Amino acid sequence: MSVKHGLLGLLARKPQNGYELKNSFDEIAGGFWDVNFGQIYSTIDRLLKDGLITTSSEGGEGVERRVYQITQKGIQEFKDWLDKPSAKVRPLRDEVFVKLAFMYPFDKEAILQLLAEQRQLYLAKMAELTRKKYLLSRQSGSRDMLMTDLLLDAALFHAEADVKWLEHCEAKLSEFESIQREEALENDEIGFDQYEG
Amino acid sequence: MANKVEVKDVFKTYKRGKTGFHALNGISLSIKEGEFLAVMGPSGSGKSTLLHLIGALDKPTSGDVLIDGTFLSSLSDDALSQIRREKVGFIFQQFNLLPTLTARENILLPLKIAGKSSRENEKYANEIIEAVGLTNFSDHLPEEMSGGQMQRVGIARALAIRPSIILADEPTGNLDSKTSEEILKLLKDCQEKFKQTIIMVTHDAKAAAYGDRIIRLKDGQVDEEVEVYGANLISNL
Ligand SMILES: Nc1ncnc2c1ncn2[C@@H]1O[C@H](COP(=O)(O)OP(=O)(O)OP(=O)(O)O)[C@@H](O)[C@H]1O
Ligand SMILES: [Mg+2]
Repeated sequence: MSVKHGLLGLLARKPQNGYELKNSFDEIAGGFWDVNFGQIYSTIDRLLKDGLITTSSEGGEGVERRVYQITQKGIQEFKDWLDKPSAKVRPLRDEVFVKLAFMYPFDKEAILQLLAEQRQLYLAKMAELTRKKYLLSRQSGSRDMLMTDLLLDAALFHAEADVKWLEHCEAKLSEFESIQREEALENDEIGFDQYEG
Repeated sequence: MANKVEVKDVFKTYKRGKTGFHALNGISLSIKEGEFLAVMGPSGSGKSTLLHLIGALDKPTSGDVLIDGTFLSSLSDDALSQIRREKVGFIFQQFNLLPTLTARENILLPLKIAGKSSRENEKYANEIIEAVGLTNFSDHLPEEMSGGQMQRVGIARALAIRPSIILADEPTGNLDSKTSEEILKLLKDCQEKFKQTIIMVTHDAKAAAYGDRIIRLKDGQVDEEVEVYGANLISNL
């Protein structure tokens, strides 16, 4: 979901002001997507410029509020987006990966420690999400709850992949290090023999 | 809360060549009554060995295991088999089903052996059969079932006697993610509703996340421990 299409979808339901849009966005994203008012308003500006929404002011005593409505063009844009699968694959920009790249030749212990701590952090986070899921499952089912459950699942599946990848890194780095050490030892021995001879 | 299970400086040593090999290497561990412990760790790290010793299926080379404060080493073979029958529900990595019995008969067998085939217990067994999604397969023989279905028979069989300790070795290893979730929820329900103590071995982080505590074995020892915030759910509501 992009902020742009999120806002279009919300406005397709009913006209709203910026404050209401921020709240409905948070609700529909189930707390998994942090958007601030700045992002909401800059997106609104772009949507106005592109003619996807229009605005009118809602008079109050002293307070004036801008209410936004979706246009025909906006509805069309939203429908086109809704029916198409996402072309973008999740970008691989894992912070841990960047750290690894910088740490690697330097300190094996520190790297393994970082990987283990990161893995433990993910596991603790997963346990927290699982708790939410379990509590949710004990209430009677509704469509909204199913959506929340599926969002929690998405977070869990991604975290699981991260944990697997971290374990994988640990195993491979440990193996690689021990091979290097053996090779270094062999080279040392040869050097030593030559020196002796 | 009291310790349900204690593992005290346990070694399990197998002969390998000239020297011994420590599948468990001086491991110590306490599991509280009503706790859900998840055990992770690489293949060969001693997870199944640990479960077998806790379930009194095998004996440590040295060290001891306590269940409800009783040293297992102090018990006769008869007393040990009584513990296995009445206190422990074992979900194995291999299913260990009797090939000539139907799913339902396999599930009810431990109740029969323990002499507990009451109407109430059979009613509970039926609820379990339904909860693991086996209602339509209860008359099938093991050879007429898929791996995942046999796994679920194994799970139902372990739960039907309402054991105070559930030992599960990769209980969701053969199941798709939706069925896995149902099984894990069922285990969590067992803990929440009946205060059953659960020790579950798993490679799967999503399954381990159902635990109150997650430990990781490495070379026969506890290598890491992740404590989960706010352990008991219901009392937090
Ligand atoms: N009966 C036995 N005789 C000799 N060695 C054994 C025996 N049982 C287990 N082992 C060895 O003890 C070690 C631990 O085995 P165990 O089955 O506990 O591993 P595990 O952690 O459960 O692995 P996995 O995740 O693959 O199930 C392994 O190296 C295994 O080869
Ligand atoms: Mg095993």
